[in-house]
Amino acid sequence: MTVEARSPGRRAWIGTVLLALPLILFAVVGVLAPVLSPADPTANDLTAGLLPPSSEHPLGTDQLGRDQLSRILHGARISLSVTAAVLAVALTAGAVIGAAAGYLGGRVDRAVSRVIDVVVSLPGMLVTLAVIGVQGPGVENLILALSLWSWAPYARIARARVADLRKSPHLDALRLLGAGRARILGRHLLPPALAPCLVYASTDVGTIVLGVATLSFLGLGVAPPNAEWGQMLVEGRAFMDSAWWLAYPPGVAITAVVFASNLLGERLAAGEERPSVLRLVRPTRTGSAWPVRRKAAPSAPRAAERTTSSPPETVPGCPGETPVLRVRDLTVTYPRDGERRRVVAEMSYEVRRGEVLALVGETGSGKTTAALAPFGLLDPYAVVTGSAALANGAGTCEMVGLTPAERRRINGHRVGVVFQDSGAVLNPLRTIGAHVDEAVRNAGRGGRRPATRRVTEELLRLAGLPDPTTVAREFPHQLSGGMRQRAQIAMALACEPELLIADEPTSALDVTVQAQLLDLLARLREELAMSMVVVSHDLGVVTRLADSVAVVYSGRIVESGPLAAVLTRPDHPYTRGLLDAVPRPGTPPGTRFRTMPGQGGAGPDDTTGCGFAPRCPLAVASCVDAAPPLEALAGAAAHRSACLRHPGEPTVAVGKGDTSC
Amino acid sequence: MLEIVEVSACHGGPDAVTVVKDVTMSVAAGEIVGLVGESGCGKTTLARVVTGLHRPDAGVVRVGEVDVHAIRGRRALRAHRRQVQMVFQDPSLTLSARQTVRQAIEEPLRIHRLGDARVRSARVGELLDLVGLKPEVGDRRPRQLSGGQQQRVAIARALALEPQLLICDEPVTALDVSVQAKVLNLLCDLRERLDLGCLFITHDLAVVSQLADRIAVMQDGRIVEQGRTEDLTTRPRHAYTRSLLAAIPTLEIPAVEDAVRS
Ligand SMILES: Nc1ncnc2c1ncn2[C@@H]1O[C@H](COP(=O)(O)OP(=O)(O)OP(=O)(O)O)[C@@H](O)[C@H]1O
Ligand code: SF4
Ligand SMILES: [Mg+2]
Repeated sequence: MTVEARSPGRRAWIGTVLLALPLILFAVVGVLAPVLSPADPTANDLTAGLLPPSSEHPLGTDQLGRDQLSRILHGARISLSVTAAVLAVALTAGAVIGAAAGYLGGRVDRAVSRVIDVVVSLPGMLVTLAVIGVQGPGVENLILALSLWSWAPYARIARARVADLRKSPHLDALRLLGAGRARILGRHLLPPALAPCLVYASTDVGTIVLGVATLSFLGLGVAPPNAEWGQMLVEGRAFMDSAWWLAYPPGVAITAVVFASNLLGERLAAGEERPSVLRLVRPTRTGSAWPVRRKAAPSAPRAAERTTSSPPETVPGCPGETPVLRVRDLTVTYPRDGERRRVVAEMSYEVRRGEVLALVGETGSGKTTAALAPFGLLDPYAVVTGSAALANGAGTCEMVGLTPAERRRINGHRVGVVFQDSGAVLNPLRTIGAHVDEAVRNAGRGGRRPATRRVTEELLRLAGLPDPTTVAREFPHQLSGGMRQRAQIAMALACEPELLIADEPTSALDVTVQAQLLDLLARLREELAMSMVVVSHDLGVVTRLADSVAVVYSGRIVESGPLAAVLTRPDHPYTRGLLDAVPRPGTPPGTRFRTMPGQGGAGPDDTTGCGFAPRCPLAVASCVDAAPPLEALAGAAAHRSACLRHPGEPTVAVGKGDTSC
Repeated sequence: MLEIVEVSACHGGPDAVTVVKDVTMSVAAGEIVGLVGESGCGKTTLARVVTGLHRPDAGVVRVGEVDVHAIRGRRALRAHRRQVQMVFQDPSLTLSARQTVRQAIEEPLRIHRLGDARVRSARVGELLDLVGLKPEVGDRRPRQLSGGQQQRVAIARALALEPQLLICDEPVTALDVSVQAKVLNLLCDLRERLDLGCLFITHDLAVVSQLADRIAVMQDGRIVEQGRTEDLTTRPRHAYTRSLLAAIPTLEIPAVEDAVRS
């Protein structure tokens, strides 16, 4: 068993702090410059010009005999105050303008968005130069110019967040509770909009510091006697050969701040709660930020021992055909309360060519985990063991234990994934077209830009978006939830996958839209001859799409088989309870709905033996001894159930009941 | 309790489409009325009109003799808010990810400045208990709860102000089947315990035929048939109602207990 990643959260945190260190140093030095400086940074002493570093002047002196160290420290102070001022202005203005536009919507929103788009696309330096050209150099004008250039991205981020939230029923609910505008904006809209703005600001620090230095370098920023890094660079340049200590320190300082700020921003953005799809469509970037450490080897010997739980090698009915995906003894653990707990326990399932397999179960049963684990799409600290063989030409390819690089050749190439929450998968700052383009390029299709875009538009049309050219140019928030989900489907289809994994593809949608999407998936599956794994809690979804069903309870499959067999002749008490809870017409009004006793959500390590035993009306003492194997029912080889008593087989059940009760 | 009289409502600006057409119906205190119809037939718009979130083009909505859309002034509006609350389809979208369960349920009490911290905390405890959640759930955030638990939190929050009328818009659609039944039973219980009137909106006739006292069937924004549940399900008059009834999948499964007896 691998025990790496004991405290992934802590390690990630340490990395973040390390990256932030230069920025923290920058801030502290900037604030404390007057205290830390050994001398007055502007005090000339022509007798001590161009002295090399010594104990008296640790970084030497410049041509006017000013102490270099003090000048560097004061330079930090100036950069810091300008940066702080610019950020304060740009972030406040951006967040307020963006939030207001997003909240008001309609014409205001359209006008503001247009302005934002224009400003974002202008080359920043030009704007700044133009402003300074008109206003003249000087610190205030510098701040004004840089703010004018920096506010737009904040506005765009805030606007997207707020517009998203505004449409959600969340605000309706608050209004109904009696919350006023101020409360809604201040408590429920601005804070979630500010979080991504702050992440962006960490990158912006570098840009602004660089901007200040550049302008001063050009003689348009901070005026000479003041110590400023860019200014110092200019002055030091003349003495590059004779006095290296003049140009290098400010250069190093600028580089350190800019790099640290960029890396930190990148890291914070990757750490934001984005589902693992980013690892699929943007492997390189997130791959570097979150190295996936996983070494689990397929546990072949163990699989061989447990003959009872692995179904026969070939599937009855289609002898000899290799399934597209064959999962054996899949086990997934997560760290919890200092130990590793299983959430999926020795699960085996397979998807045949052209078949749709539905994994059904209650929340927390582990169905999503079971479907995503073979493709390395879980959080990095999940440990996956067992085997998952993906058909590969005549042979198979083992998915468990692949390195991220090997995995990338499969995910997004031969396997597509659709997640429940499109809002979290799509980056609000990029157009739908950019997302699909990226998936197309990643799949090695397309080529040059126009060719890629043609493929993209074709995919969007395939996903049922009527006007792909327009949609491709739109941002995620401009689409409805159903359209976003279609865009996600287009991304997944970019690689012409043999296998599509759809995790609750319709659950976040309104019932109307759900129905349309299910039709789309059914159609695509026919047209593209794809195999599919559909994860859902909704029996309605399952009956519309699936050929076979696997009912998941507490990290194990408790019953599986062809759709009709499982739904009409359920065997496992859990499946029966589940179907029983579906309301039936003809029941007199006012009768209570049939429920299952107890609560779901327990993992396989919370119980011994049969996971359903605590809730099972048929449980007997032997049920808690060992987890019952998933075995074929009498007379129906493809229909399996993991229950000691098999209530679905009347004769057998009576016999067993007699002996054990 | 609730009276909807000849209400019509439309969506959008210049190319407006009328989605609710001339609807008249009512909900008495302690009564559950089901509003069934296909997806997109205007049910949600009607719910928004009833709660005052959407202005109707014609007609009147009265809650306890007060015309919902003629309320003026903060105080009157607040008083009205305490009467009518709503439960939405997807609890994960209506609860704020940043608030703990306790904060979410407490929020309406804070907004309406009811009680001091201690009173509110006690009230939150009661509400959690009322919807069948353990007290320790209070410190979790929505992400750490199952869908059923989240919906219970949303119901608890809606009940915090002791409304007389609850509008439920597809409240169990996003939930696990086995949990749906529990939330539905919870609604039955609450109706009895609190004498709560409830307008239950769903696309699922099977659910309301077991839950509701009366049912109204909506097609393309119009109520095509309404009546007592037994009458409507056993002797449907409108063709559309008949087609809805026919569309309910029937699963012939012997109950688990029957299997034991055999
Ligand atoms: N990143 C994670 N870290 C720790 N535990 C996790 C993580 N993701 C899932 N789990 C746990 O694994 C179990 C199974 O989760 P999973 O998401 O697979 O369930 P599910 O059946 O898909 O549920 P739902 O219907 O809510 O999506 C749950 O108990 C959950 O708490
Ligand atoms: S094995 Fe026992 S406890 Fe488990 S489902 Fe069957 S009868 Fe119930
Ligand atoms: Mg899931």
